Amino acid sequence: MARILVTVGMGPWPFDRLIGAVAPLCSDHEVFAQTGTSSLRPPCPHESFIPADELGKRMDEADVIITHAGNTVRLVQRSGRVPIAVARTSALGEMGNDHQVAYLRQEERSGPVVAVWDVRDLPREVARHGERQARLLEERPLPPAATPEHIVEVMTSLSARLCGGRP
Amino acid sequence: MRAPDTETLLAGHRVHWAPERSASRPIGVLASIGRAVRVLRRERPDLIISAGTGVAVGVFLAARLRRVPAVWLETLNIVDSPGIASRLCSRLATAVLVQRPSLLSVRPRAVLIGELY
Repeated sequence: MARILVTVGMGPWPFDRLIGAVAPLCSDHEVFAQTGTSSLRPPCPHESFIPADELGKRMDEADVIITHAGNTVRLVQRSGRVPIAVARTSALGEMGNDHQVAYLRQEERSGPVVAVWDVRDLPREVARHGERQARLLEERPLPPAATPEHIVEVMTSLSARLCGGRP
Repeated sequence: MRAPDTETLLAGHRVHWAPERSASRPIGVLASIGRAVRVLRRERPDLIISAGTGVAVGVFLAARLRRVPAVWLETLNIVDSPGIASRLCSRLATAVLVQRPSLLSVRPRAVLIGELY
């Protein structure tokens, strides 16, 4: 039994395809789902939205994190884990465009992520996640994040240019 | 937008909550401009920074009207063609920040800030 966190992000778009696919996992694992504006409710503990600190705590405690292909993908990767990600698609009304599809395709080629394109594959991916995670973490290092000093330098320079010298 | 995560992250700051707007619905965007102008008039910011989404379009239009410099931050998960809000706001912006070096070729005037997290 694994502790699984499912999150669909804090945006206004529903993601019923992912939330609906969580049900088969609930009988075999300890699952918590953050469902956003999705209309489906999984047969496991769930909340529509949760505060950022609670989400971070739940991420830390989870063995497996299943997420939409939003910025949570990088958050999970920075925590030293490999997310299982599902992209929202515009054709299914899950988003206004397909930038999550493009992002996940790119990340799947080179990043530490497990991309799931058919949500019926989720139980199989969860079952073999430990092995895949270990291999992906070894083979695919993340690009470094910007340092706080670099961010301050860029923003100081930019604000000086745009605000006429005011810091 | 008011949500549990934004409420906790912005606790202790002065906040003006605004409803999300779809950038593809011009009536909603136009309605948001008046609200944004009132906020800018009251707060008189030196600089605006936003990563979107649709609610930012009205703010960036108001920033143009009020001559406030506005910076558009492209989110990390934009790897090729951005959405409508991103296209509109980056055109209205005084400057654009990107997190991926690969986007500098399609955003020639952008500044590379690197991955923020």
